Order: sequence, then C-alpha cells, then structure tokens
Amino acid sequence: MAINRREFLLSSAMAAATAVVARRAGARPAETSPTAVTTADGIRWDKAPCRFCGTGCHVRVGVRDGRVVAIQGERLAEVNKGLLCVKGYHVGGILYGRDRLTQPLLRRNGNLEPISWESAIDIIARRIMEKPESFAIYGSGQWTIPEGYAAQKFIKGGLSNNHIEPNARLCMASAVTGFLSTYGVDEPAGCYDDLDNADVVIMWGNNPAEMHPVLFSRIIDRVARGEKVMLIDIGTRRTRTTEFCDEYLQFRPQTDLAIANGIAHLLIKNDTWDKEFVSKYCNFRTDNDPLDLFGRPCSFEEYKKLLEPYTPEHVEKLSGVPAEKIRMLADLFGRRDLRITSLWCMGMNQHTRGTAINRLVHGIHLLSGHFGRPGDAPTSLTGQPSACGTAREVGTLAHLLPGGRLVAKEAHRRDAERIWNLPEGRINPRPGYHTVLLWNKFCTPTAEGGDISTVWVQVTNPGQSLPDLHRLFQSKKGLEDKFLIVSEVYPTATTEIADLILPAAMWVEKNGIFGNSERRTQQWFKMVNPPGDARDDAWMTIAVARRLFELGHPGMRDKDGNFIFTVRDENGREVPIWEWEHYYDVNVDRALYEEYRQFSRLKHKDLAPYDELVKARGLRWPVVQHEDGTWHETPFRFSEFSDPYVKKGAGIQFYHSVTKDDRALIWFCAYEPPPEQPDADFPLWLCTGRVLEHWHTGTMTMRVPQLRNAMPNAYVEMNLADAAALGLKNGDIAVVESRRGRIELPVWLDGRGKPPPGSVFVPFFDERLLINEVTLGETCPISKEPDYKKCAVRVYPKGRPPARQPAIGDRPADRI
Amino acid sequence: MPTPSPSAPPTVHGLVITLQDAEAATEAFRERLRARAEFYFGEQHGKWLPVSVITDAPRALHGWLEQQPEIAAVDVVFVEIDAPDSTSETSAPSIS
Repeated sequence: MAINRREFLLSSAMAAATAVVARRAGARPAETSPTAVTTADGIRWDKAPCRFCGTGCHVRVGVRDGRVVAIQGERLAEVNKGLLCVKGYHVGGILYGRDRLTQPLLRRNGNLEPISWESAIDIIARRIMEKPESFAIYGSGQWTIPEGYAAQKFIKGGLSNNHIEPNARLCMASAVTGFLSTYGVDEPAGCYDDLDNADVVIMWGNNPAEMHPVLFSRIIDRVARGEKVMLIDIGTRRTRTTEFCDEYLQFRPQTDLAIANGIAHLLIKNDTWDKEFVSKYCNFRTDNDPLDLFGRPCSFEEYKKLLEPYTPEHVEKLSGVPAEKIRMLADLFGRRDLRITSLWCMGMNQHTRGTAINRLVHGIHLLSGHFGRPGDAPTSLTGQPSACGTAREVGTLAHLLPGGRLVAKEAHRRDAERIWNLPEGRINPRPGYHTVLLWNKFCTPTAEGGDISTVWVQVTNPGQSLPDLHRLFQSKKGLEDKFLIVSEVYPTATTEIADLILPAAMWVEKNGIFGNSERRTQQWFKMVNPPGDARDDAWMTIAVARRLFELGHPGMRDKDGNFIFTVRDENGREVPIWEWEHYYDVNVDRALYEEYRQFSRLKHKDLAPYDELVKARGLRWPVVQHEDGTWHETPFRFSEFSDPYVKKGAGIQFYHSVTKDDRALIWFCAYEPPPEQPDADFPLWLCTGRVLEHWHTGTMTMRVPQLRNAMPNAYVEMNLADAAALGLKNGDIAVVESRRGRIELPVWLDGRGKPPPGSVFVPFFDERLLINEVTLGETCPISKEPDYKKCAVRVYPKGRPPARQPAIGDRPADRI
Repeated sequence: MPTPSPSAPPTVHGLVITLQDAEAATEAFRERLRARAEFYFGEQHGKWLPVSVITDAPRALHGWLEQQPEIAAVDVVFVEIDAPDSTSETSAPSIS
C-alpha cells in the first residue's frame, strides 16, 4: 500500500527518534549509509556537515523533486550522535528565503541593474588588470576548503599581492597566535572526546549552551546520567550556560589575565605544579617590548618572580572574583586525580590582549600537567563552519601559505611554488594587509594612502560584522575610484553599497569540504541546484582567473605556460571548468583538494584522500595510512597513545616546538587595563555576541521563519537596577551610544542573559540594528583581532539624552 | 529585509523525550499530550520515549512539554522543513 508524504515524514521522524533513544539506552546504532540512499517514497538522503557554527555536526539531508524537504541528525556522526541544535534542524530552510539573489547585478547611476555573467567576469578581470596590486579578496571560514584554496592560489600564486583575508581574523586569530606561540603550530591538541572524560569543565568567557549547544548537551547528558562533572563559568555576565554551572565567577572585563596569573601564582606558591611534566615538556617565556609573537626566553625563577604580585587578594581587587574562588581554581588545577578541560571562543579571542589570555590558559594547563590525557585539555572552539579548515589550514590569512607556511619565509614560498608549478619568485614575500587595515585602506581616499581600490567579498558580510562600521566600511560611500564586489546569497548590509553583486550557490547547492574545531575534515556532494543563475564561488574565482589568462596576465600561467587552474579528466584531457556548463563535468572540489593535500604534511596536519572523506563522517588530522592500506585519524595530538608522529617512549612530544626541543612554552603575560574603559561620559561596558537562534549576521537564519519568529530583532540586555536608575522598562526603546556611533534598541530586562551592574549586552545578528556602528576598532597587537567584547557606552531612553551620567561607583547600581 | 509571515502550516517533528523516571509515561500522560497535538509514540527504552508529532506551533509545544512534570528534557531529532512558515512565538521584545 502506498503511503502519502505526511505519513512517510512521520515514520522518518519516528525512526530518527527511535534510533537516538536506542543509542542512549546503550544499543549499537543502526547503520546509516555515508553515501546517498533513496527511500521508498522517493526521498534521497545524503550526508553533509551543518552549514552554521564550527562544531561540525553531521546532518542527513532529505531531497525530493530537487528540493530539500527534511533534515535529521546523523546518528552515526561522532560529533553530534544524532542531535542537532535548533538552527541545525532548520538548516535546510536557509536555501529557500524569498529574496535569494539569482542574477549578477551592476550598480549604474546608483541603481543595481542585471548584467550577464560574462560581463560581470570581464568587469572584475579588467579592474584587476588595471591595478593588480590594489586588489583584495575578503572571505571567511564559511568558504569551503576548495573555495578558499582557489582564492588563496589566485591571489598569492597568481596576482602575487597577498591581499587575502578571512572574516576569521575577527573570530579566532588570537587563538591561532596563542597556539603558535605556545606549541609552535596551530590548532587544538585535544578533541570533543575530552568533553566525555573531563571531571571539571571551565568555560572562559564562553556560552556554549547557546553558541555550541550540541557540545554543551554532550556534557549535560553526562550530568543527567549521574556522572559527576563540575562546571565552572568564568564570565562577565550570566548566560544560559551559567544556569547549568556549579560555580559562576564574575570578573571585570579584561581581568581574565589576572585570574589566569593568579592560578599560576598559587600553583607555584602551594608547590602543586607538575614538576615532572614541566621538566620534561616545557620551557618558560615572557613578552618582549614591544609585544611580538615569540617573546623572549625566561627562567623558571624569573617566571615565578613575575607572578609574585598576583596574590589571590590582588587578583580579587583587579577582577572582582573573590580570593577564595581563585584558590578554589588553583586547588582544582593542583590535583592530578582530576581531568580538566578549558573551553573558550570569542570571549578570549576578541580581546585587545587576546594572544596573551590564550597563552595564559594554555600555560596553566601545562604548568599543572593537565594536558595530553583524554579530558585534560585547553580547547578553543570556533564560530564558523570551516574557520579551522579553510582560514587556518588553507591559510587564507594575509601572511600565510597553505599548510602553516609563511609568505615571509623563503623556503615556504619555494615549496608552494614547487607544488603550484610556478616560476621561482612568483610569490610575494611581503604579507598583505590584515582585515582591519585592509578595510581601512579601502575606505581611505586613494590620494590619502588608501591603496586598496577593489575588494571582492565572498561568503561573508563585513558591512555588518566589522567593528567601528562607520570608519571601516560605510566611509567607502562616495569614494568614486573604489569598487566593491560581493558574491552573496541574499541582500545584506554589504551588498547595500556593493558596485557589483554576484549570486552565489550555498551549502548543498554545491560540492564542499569543511574543517571543524576538532581538526575534523568533512565532505559532502551537491544535492540540489542553486536558484536562477546563482553559481559556485570557486567557479567565479576560476572564471575570473581564466579571463585574466585570456587578457594576458602573466600570473595566470604556471611555469610551463598552462592555466594555473588546469583540471584534467580521467583521460588526461583539459576540462574547460571556467565555463559554467562544464564546471561539473569533473569533480573540481576533488581536484583542488588533492592538490591542496600536498601542503598538509609539513606541519604534520596530514589530510585524508578525498575518496576516504567520501566514505566517512569526517576524519581528524593527522590522518595516517597504515601498512595494511587503511587510513586512521588522530583524536589526541602530541600524545604517544594516539598520535603516530610522537616518538615511541616520549609520552608527550611537541614536535613543532618554538624552541626546537619538543617542548611547549609556558608564558607569563602581565595584566594590562583595556584601551577604553567606562568614564563619566560613557559609564557602561558594552559586550556583543550571538544568540541561540541566529548564526553570525543573521543573513541565513533570519530567512528561516521558525528562527526569525523566535528571535525577530536585536535588543539591549540591561541590569535591572541600571535600567531602573535610567527610567527604562522592558520593551522601552533605549539609545546605546559610544564615541563611534549610536543605535536605538528595545530594552530586555531579566531575559536570557543577566548583565551585572554597569554593563549591557547587544547581539549583532540584526541588520536593521547594527551594533558594530558602536563597537571599538582596537585590536590585539599580535593577532590583529578586534575587541568586540568591551567598550564604553552610555544608554538612555530615546528622546531623553542625559547631560552627564554618574560615573561607575556613583550610580545606584554600584551599591548592589 | 525579512518580514514576519502570518501563515503557519503544520510540520512534522521527531522528538526524544527524557522522562523523570521509566514509569512516568502513563496512559493519562499520553492522553494529555495527544490532547495538545497530533502525537505518535514509539517504543520506550528506560527513561527515553521517541515520539513524532504534527504541530503548527513547535516552539510553544516544546516549551509546554518541558513544563510537564513527567518530563525531564526534550530533544529535537527530526524536522520537516518543506512547509515554509510557522507562527510568531517570540519571547524577545519587539521593535515593531
């Protein structure tokens, strides 16, 4: 008997729920195919990683009649074990917003007019031919690995100017510099398995209950099963995460450095540091003046002396965290019988001392020996689906080449030129502009030194996500010789002032590969066609490169005269992949990825072959082939029991150490006050961030009715007493104003988050309420990552600006 | 700029209900759920009960389920997305 569509979906929903229940009850999960299967009613199911955050959950995507019709969590995926968050369950809906961009648009006399793809590609190529040195590409961790790799090769191997940056500079650059300066190589040593084994989980300025909910539920599930897991939230406001925690330690913004130093101080004073671990595996280091990436060596005695001022009482004075709680943290780290995992994300990274706090948290794990066993790990999380895979590993930052190589290092340039078959000297040794500088140069008149004239934005929305938007984005308006190209899926704050808009395919409308927060590389195939004339971002890059080749740009040829993106079929014939109708004649993703994979060995980040990824639900690098021909992933890096690159008998080996002796570095970095603090004119701290329902700037999730209706607009979250003192009630419209800009927002009191007196929180997902017109453009001097988590603002009821607000300490809120 | 949609077609959802204890899913409990929406119950294992449900207000239903004394937690494991819209069920203050 035939079943109707609704009955089929009901049975599919029940099957998914039953499978998860069986797994929770201890049964082995029923097998699901990693390759596509078609079920009785004609729905074709295939695997893909979720499109949103860096967790990397796997979904099963149901397609019928050329349209995504259902989503379920992949129960065999180790990352999410069948679960998804509210965004993940609606991920299919992001394809079907009513205002998808479907044709190229060129701005003429202020109006956007449709043009052909041929014209659009030609316009871009001719802009580049005119001034190749002033052209830049700005992408993100939403690029798939092949897309980012194509853009990277085009800029650095083709145009030789190095002006390529990802939005990831704004998210995790401080994590990168933290890893590099501690271990000599980027990315976490541990993985999500640590969450299954930790006795103590410390969230440093982190709200995983909303930002990485599937990972957080992994911990909460353990608690629900009766396991003893201590959760500690070290934060500047109460969040949903706080509700689940055993301890909440509220600190004054920026003083996390003092807390970390206070823990290290007590580990030494109490003689509870791990002398054996440190003597075998660590060296000490501190900052140079001026600050730089690798600092200067210091002895243990100097390190100890530098920590002396950070007594619990001094740390309490700086941070507001009671001395007894600093002692509690130090006592936990001082116990070898516990396993401790630290989690962090933007709270530590978007920080004017972001590199320093990253180093310090690694340092207390190393000093206490809480490293290298499952559950003992300092682990940074990422916010974008391929921030690790595309930004960090492909190296789409202005100073990097693929696989951890540096443009400034001659041997690395030669290596890249060899793999790309380019003439020696093609790659420019001078790093390009980092994100804030790039946009500053683009928004500065050419005559005043603004030497970036054309920016091509792919897969990101800087018109909403950059800090200090008036200065770094909106001041492009009126600069006649500047040209902004945006490839996008929906109209955004960035397309608002674009000169040329290119309609892009997204997620399962194209082939792709992402790399998640735990070094896991995940592949998927195209499942549905993009709407209208939308096309793949990698195709756009290759088509522009080909047009430049035809126009005679020498950088578009390799040293044999061949096009730098030559792809051949199985018979060795070149396929004209720059022509859209032939782009899918071969698997371009496979070709680009296999070329890129050659870069992955230098830093022992060995990637699996493409065909192995097809068979898996993601594999964690280094992926190493055994004698029997099978490929094996590495859950725990640098630990002998897991990592095949660690010498037998070494136990732990930091084989890319800065000091070339297989030792990691324990840093001392002093606490310093932030560059802007509340004062009499701007008496409140502003913190910005995300919410559960929306991802990043909301361009996708605001098109999903279920998500948009659940959280339709941004708001300012205030402390009850502060709001009362200002005469603001729930739902009133307040003005949030800094030295850089002002916006009007509804007030939300006693909502999800509870800011302490003297601080407010505003999410950044709402394109109608651009909080980044208010935020600060200051960056960490080492990572160049901006600080979105703290600046000084004033808040007042709309229409009633105060002459002067009371300073912190003089307000009613301060007496709480 | 996205605008809220007034329509709310029903959609299919797969849920895993974690019960307070293995005996909590009595017939009275199941009847109470069926009175609220079109519920279908799968085979219970221990404290975990798989269900599929058709609803035009999934968020409200989710919140209601979490408030039931027999229920410790609710996880969503399947969502139909073909139906385009659902109702507005916001808890945040509105700018409109």
